[in-house]
Amino acid sequence: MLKVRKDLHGAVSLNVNGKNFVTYPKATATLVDTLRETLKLTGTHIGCQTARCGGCVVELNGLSVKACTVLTHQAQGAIIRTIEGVADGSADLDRVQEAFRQNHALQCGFCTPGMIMSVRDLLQHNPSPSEAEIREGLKGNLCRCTGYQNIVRAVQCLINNEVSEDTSFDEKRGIGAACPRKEDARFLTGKGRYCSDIDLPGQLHAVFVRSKVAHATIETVDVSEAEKIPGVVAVYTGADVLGDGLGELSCGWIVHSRDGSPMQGGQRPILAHERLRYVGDAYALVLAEDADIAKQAAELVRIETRDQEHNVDPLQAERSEALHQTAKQNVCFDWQFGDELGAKQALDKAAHVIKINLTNNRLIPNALEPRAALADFEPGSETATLYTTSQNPHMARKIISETVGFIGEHNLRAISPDLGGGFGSKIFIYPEECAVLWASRKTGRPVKWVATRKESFLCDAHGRDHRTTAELSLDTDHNFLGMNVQTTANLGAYLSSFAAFVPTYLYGTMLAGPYRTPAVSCAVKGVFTNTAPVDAYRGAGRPEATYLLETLIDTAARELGIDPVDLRQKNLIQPDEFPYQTPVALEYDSGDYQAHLNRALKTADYVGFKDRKKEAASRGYLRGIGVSCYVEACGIAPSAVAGALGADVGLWESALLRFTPSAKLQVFTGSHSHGQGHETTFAQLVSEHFNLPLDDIRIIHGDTDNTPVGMGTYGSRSLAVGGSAILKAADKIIEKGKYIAAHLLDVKKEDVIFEAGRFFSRSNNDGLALGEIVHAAYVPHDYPEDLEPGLEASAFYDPTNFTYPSGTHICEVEINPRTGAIDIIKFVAVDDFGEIVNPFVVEGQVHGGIVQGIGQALFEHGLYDPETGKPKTISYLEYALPRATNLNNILVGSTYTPCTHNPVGAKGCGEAGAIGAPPAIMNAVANAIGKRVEMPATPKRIWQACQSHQMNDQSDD
Amino acid sequence: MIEAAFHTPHTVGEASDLLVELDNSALVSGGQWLVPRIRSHDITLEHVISTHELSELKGIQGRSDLIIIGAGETHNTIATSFPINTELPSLADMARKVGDQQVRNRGTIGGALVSSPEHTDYSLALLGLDGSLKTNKRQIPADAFLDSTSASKILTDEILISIEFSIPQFATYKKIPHPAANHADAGVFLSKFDNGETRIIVSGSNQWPVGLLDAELSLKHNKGIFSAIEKQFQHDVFFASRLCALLEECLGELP
Repeated sequence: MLKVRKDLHGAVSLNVNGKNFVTYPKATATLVDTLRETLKLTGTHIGCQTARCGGCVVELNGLSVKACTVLTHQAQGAIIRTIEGVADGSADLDRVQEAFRQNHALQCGFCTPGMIMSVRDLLQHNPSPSEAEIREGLKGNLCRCTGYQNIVRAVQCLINNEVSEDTSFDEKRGIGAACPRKEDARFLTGKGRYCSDIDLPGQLHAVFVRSKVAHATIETVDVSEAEKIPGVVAVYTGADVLGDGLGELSCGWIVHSRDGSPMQGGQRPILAHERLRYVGDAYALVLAEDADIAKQAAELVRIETRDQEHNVDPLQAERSEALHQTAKQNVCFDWQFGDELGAKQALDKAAHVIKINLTNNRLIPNALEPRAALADFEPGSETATLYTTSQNPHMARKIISETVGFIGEHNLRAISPDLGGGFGSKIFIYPEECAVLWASRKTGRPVKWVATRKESFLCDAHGRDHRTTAELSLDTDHNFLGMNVQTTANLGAYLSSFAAFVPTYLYGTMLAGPYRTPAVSCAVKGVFTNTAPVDAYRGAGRPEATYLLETLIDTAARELGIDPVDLRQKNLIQPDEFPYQTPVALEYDSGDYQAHLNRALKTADYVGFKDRKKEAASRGYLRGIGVSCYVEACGIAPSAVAGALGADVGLWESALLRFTPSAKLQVFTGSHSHGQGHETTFAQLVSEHFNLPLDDIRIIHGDTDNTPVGMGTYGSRSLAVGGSAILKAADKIIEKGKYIAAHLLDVKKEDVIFEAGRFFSRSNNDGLALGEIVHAAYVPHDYPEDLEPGLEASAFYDPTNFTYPSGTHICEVEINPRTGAIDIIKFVAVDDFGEIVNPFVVEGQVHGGIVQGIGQALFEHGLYDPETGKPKTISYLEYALPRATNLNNILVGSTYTPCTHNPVGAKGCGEAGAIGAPPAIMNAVANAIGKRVEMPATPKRIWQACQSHQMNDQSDD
Repeated sequence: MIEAAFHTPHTVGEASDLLVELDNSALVSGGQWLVPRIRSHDITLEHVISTHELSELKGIQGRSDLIIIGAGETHNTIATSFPINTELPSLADMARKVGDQQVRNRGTIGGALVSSPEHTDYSLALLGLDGSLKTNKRQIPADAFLDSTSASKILTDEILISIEFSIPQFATYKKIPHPAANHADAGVFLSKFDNGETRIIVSGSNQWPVGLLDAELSLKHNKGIFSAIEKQFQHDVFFASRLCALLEECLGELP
């Protein structure tokens, strides 16, 4: 007879943030579930559920723990502190939170609560940690945005007592002010509101049933056992999708093959009904009263399939069984761009031809907030609200309403609240969001889906995955003559929303880089394989082009025995050559490439490298230095050009500025922030314009029912395009203000000027404050007869050209040839982003981009097993993201040439790091070893290269 | 629909009765391995039995030639324990290399050894320090426990109570962590005893079970031990090269 206590649904008492609670969790409920779902303390986040990301770190009896590893019953009687209980009430923020705020140690805010709990634990046990100890203390927490650098700096400020009590720098506000961000207070205190934090009464939980095989035809799907589980409300399959006449998702950018035919294949059903095309392909949807029930029922859905030959290798695609009927031999498009004949002629007359084969490794974006959706269809009004993790809610509304077919765009409201990172992966329209909206209509209940990390690995659009052969031809003086590029781009099993655009127009047009290369030819074959769809990931096409070009140039320098910097300098476009028409369609408006190269060389002490290499060699280590110069294209536009290249969209951005009657300013933008800090940067922009305090300005985005139609945030476009729309609308308001002021001042409108927040008359010094004009507009008692009351204006801005940020990145590495271990000793980035509104924000973007670039160069690789077609990297136990302990500080600097064609003068900074960093690192590796290594340069690859090179190399450099 | 039950026994005897009598039951200790698997439905249990109240699994005792660690002690308790830092600092250092601060605050030595002996650093210390495992049924010597061909694994109804390590004259542990999972991609544990016996235990990179090198013959001639490693792992030269580099570091610390 057992006498021990058995808690089936026994009570657990917890003291959380000083308050006592009694809950009755399931035996298998984790502490993070209880905190979030029962106690509604949603500041503790779920990023992986495998104890690897640190998003759920809380304090349990004084120790930091990952709440996803603690069963709530195990915490019986515990004293728990969550992010919501960190500030003691005497101030809004405690010291750690304040240090984070002052050092811009957070971006999207998703990892921030866990990070703060870990820092508290660290400082409790070690009040004055070294930098290495700080990084070790942060090792359990992943951050995908900041590159950890400002987090380390925040901790250093804490231990050096450099957290300022004086917060007057909050008052700094205009363009160029490094003020802390407006959004930070909510992220630091766990009050950010992410999609998965939102619940609706009566909601059902959705779980998708996914293919475990890479390629098969579906014979039958049997849901009868799953439907019998109590709590299951419905199970839908691909047959239901067909029966209800739902459409398929397709790519919004049509690319044509060299023979003029449009691209073929790749349409994606909302649930697979005929064929499973990759591991993760969803073929059924279970809806249940709770997520646990839905998961158990999903395991009971039975599928009979007939296996088909699978292929995960893009170079084998043409010889493998076709995934899509219309795409013969799995070729979606066979695209040719540039001057094929000219490039061939350049090869023929060249003194030197350098040829390389290289792979651009498949990456899995890994925003720390997994995708989520919550749909609520209202049958009475035939309207619906969809909460979605989207970088582009207006586009989500358009495509989802068109795809499901039963709701007009005007009746669907898409709300994208705070986003925990995106990096491209949340631009696209996926089947899951369409499915939950459809399911909400069918069940008459709200339906919620939150992806697991494994689903993020399986099904979020991956990035890169190119195989390329390229030739660079040079004359006897080492001037570039031409380049010939042939790339096979792995598109995955389906065409994602912008999949065709990324390896073509975002890639081929960037191949000239910052150099004069008279003839460039680029051929890209886009092929289908039994892998997750591939689409834009931070940089999108431009990192692939830059890595190729900069590798080619370094290889040329090595083979020709000249300094790689000299070879670059010889071929750089000079400042007096702008505007510069490249041979690959773009016209660069401005830049000074020599300026950032010089600055970077100086900061990196390029000249002194030889001595450092010698010193390292004396210790048995290999040192290498690598340079990469890049130019990229942001703010893709104008719309007409995009259309001519195959876009099914315009690429303008919108803004609506509204003064409230009490002279506060609401700024509605169609762009969206997923960590970039628009609430601050955009506010600074209009603060400068109107001379208003930041506190009087509110930036509103992400809700299609109350923002003007916009195009979202990607491609480093928000400030250059969205900011320009804001300024355009601001100018309209000032124009109207001048009419009102002229009336009130009894002068001509032409005589009114607006300066420092006041409307003045040229003819006398009379002036009216902006607030007085706003008041007059809303209380139009004494008012121009022909003028409408109110003070708001909207604007759409369609740029006349792309913007062209550029920069030089230099990396110095040290390699242990015995273990293959690599250490980035120094990383220098000098970039030209044009006008910088908030240097803090820009620096943070650069850090984060570079660390994602380091991830690509050294750690990250999305892998499939060619034998089984199954993915090998489906959790943080297999896929390595850079952690704080893997990194050293990055030195960031900037040079300045403004964009010539937008009113902000800004060029965009979000992707630069991910573009410039990988070649700088890989060139440093090649410089150290004497030969090239493919990305990611894992210790094993580095070691193997050292071995084979030592055997072959007779020279002793 | 399976609804699991949670049990909190107060003695090892009670816990053992539960394990024997309840089908589909398992012990949960620090939960670092098990709880995520329960949550993801990779493991479905009907009965979760907590070790939390089992005082027999707690405590760290230092004897003249032995350290005995309760299976329920966390990595950080081991890392900061006075007797361990005094008598067996290499084990404290090893504990500091486990996972990260949050994993060390919660995860236990017993949990690590039972759930994933092939990945835990402690397996090297067990072999290098003549360790043994005490369960509620028997005492299992390290080599038997870690021999994957034998049946000396902890049985599903068995409870690991404590782990014993003998105290050497000197020991040190060097590790190259897996970039994602943090377990040893390559690990070398070197120990030297008062009687002059020296042991070198290596692990990592799918080299399971951990290898025990015959160190005595070759330590006098350093070359010998390195070629022994190269020979033993000639199918994975990269691994051998890393082991040699780690071993060199270990030997450099040998007093």
